[in-house]
This record gives sequence, structure tokens and C-alpha cells, in this order.
Amino acid sequence: MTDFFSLLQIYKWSIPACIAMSSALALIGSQWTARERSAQIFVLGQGSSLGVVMGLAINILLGTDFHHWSLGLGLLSGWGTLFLSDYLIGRRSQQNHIFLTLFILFLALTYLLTAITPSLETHMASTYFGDVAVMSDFAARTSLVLGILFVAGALKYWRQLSLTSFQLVNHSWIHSHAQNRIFDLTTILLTTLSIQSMGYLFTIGSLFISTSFAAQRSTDLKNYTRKLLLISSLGSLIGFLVSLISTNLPTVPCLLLGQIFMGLILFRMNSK
Amino acid sequence: MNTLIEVENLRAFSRDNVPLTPVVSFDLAEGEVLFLRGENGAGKSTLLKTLLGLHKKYEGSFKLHIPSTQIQYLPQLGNLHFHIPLSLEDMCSGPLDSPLLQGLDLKKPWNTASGGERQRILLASVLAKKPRLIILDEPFNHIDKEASELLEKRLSEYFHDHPQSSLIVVSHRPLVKVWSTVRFLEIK
Repeated sequence: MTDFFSLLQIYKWSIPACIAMSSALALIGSQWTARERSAQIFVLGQGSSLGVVMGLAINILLGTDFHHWSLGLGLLSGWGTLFLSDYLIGRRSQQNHIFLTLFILFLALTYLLTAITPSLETHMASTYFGDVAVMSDFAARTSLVLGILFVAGALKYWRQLSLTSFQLVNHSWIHSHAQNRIFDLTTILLTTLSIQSMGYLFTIGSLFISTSFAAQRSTDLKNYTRKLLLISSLGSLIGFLVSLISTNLPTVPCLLLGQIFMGLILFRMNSK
Repeated sequence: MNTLIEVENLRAFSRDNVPLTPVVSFDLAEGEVLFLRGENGAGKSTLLKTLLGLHKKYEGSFKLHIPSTQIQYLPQLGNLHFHIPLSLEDMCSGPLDSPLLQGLDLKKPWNTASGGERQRILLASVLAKKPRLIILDEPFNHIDKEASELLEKRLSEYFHDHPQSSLIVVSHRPLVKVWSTVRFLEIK
């Protein structure tokens, strides 16, 4: 038991950071799924990953340890991916093949970069499969603050944001609102930060797991949002605690399985 | 009367330069109703989308004399299943005592509501914003006779109460109420 509490002490920033970030990502993923653009955010994640890996490669080649390279290049690459995918799809109704092509392109470039840069493979693995256990306190605190700020801001405008998503998917979106541009930019910022600090798997999982379960059998926006946040936050907490109790288990899969577990519980509760 | 929109020799094209609409010219003054008629595929919806900036490839010109924030648009009501499970009340951005909402169960989920219930919610939200120009694309499709009469009645009341507002409507169903100024434009 003492060991468990000492582990809690070690991860005092990582645990709340994961909870805040998974909640923020769940809200983001919900709106992108509602806009029928979940494939686009998937590609955006891969684009940001490429930028993060490029930052790592630069650090290795220059012999520096300047982590802001990864974040900066990840943001730039994420923004470029969003811009490119928006431009390429235009108003085409068939979009998935374009998103998949872009995904493969970014994956191939990431692999190419890894192959030609010495000692990058280990870093690339942590970019993909997660680095929550060794996340620095600075990264955890940044994720925590930005995650909480995003959740608070998104919930304040949640209904408006949901109606905007409806208009976008209903093709009745004729007015541009600054709020929507801010939503796009915060999506890039949080997705990139999450990929850099917690990995691609955690990021993509948190974007889509909660909304997939919460959308089932919810009666209205309030009920749905409550479920969304319960699945993401409580699921991440349960997953993290399980990974601390059984130290052989990797953290990120536990976090995602925790979210799926919470989703299944709520689904079962609603079916009764 | 002020002109809200001027359209001159406007013609929309596809990406491959195939004409999607005939060449169209018209003006719309405040208080007027413009009824666009034509066969399926004649380009009525594309014309509306061009005026709204949703379709970018065109020849000719058009000028809006009001800011785009004063325009509201309702596209054709498809059988849209929305991922976020909104109730009708969540969907409604206007006052809940609107005559259009009377008798509706606002707790009902959007995804299981009928075409008439959906259209009443959407139109109530549009009218609540008090726009100068309303653009409606087949507002009476997929809804029963009673609901379409209610929609048209509420629309005509709105334009009676807001004489500076105008309407462009595409519909296969003729208007049955008496409107003060309706002009017809054949799209063929």
C-alpha cells in the first residue's frame, strides 16, 4: 500500500493531466465526429505526429535537447494538414479515400524519417504508443492547465458549438464565426500537445472512445455531455490506477481500456 | 423600396465547367417574395447556394446590399441523423413560446422527430433571428399538409410583421396563402 501511495506521489501531475486531457479530447472528438470529419482529425493526428518526429530528428541531428522543436513543428504540421485536407476535399461528398491517402502519405514520411535518422526508432515508438509514465512534470502541468481551460471554455459554448456542427453537416453554414476558428486552432494545439506528451494512441483513443459510447441512447445534449465526461475522466482515472497497481501493465492501453470499460458500464446501465 | 440583392447574368458551373443553371437576372427589393420554379435538376438549389457563397464557380455577378449576418438559409431537409443526440429543445435557438412550437414535445430527440417537427424547429430558429432575407429551399418537402400550412401561415405572419424583410423560396408546392408581393422566376 505504501508503494501505491508513493507511486501516486510520483504521478501527482500525470494523473490529473491525463484526466483533463482525455476530457478535452473527448469534447473535441465529439464535435468532429458530429461534423462527419472524424477521418480528418485522424489524419490531423498523423500530420502532427510527423511534425513531432521531425522535431525529435532535429534534436538528434543537432545533438540538442530542445523539446519545443517537436511542439512547434507538430503545431505547424497539424495546421498544414488541416489546411491541406480542407483544400483537397472542398465540397466533395466522398472524402474518406482522400483522408486515407493523406494518412498513408504522412505515415510513410514518418517511417522514412525514422529510417534515415539514427536512434530515432525508440523515440518514434514513444510518440505512437505513449509516454505517460515518463511525462515530465512541466508537460503534465501544461496539459492539465490547457485541458481544464479548454473543457471550461467548450462547456460554456457547448450548445452553440453543437448547433454549429449541425449547420456544417446540414450544409446550412453560411456565416463564419470566430468561435469556430478558435475551435479549429485549439483542436490543433491540444491534439499536438497530447501527441507530444502522451502519444498518438492515447490521443486518438480519447478523441473517439467516449463519444462512440455516449452517443448511444442519450436523450439530450446535457445527458450526452455528462456521459462523455464521465467516460473520459473516470475511465482514464480507473485505467491509470490499474496500471499503478499492476506495474507490469503499460499505462496508455490501461487508460484506453478504462475508458472503454466505463463506456460499457454506462451503455449497460442505459439499456436497463 | 431598398434593393436587397441584385443578380445579373448569373450562371453556375460545375468543376468541369458544365453549366448547372440557366443565365439568371433579377432584383429583390425589401418586402418582396421571390418564388423560384422549375423542374428537378434545373439548378434552383445551386442558384441559391451560389448567392450564399456556398457554390463558388460561376459567371455573371450578384450583389448583396445587406450584411450576410442578416441572411438566414434553410436547405432542403434531408433525413439527417446527427451524431450528437440533441433534443428538439436543444435545437431551438429562439424563444420556446413561438407559435410554431405549440403542441410540440420539445423533449423528443431530433433523430426520431418527423419531418414536420424538424422543419418547425428550424424555421422557428430562423425567424427568431429576425433576418432581412430568408432563403428557403423546399421548405414543405417531407412534411404533411397540416404542417406545411402551419409553416406557410407563420411565414406570412412574419413578413406581415417585418415589412422590410424578403424571402426567396424554392418549392414544388405552390403557396396557398395570400401574399402581398410574390414574383415568380422560372428556372429552366
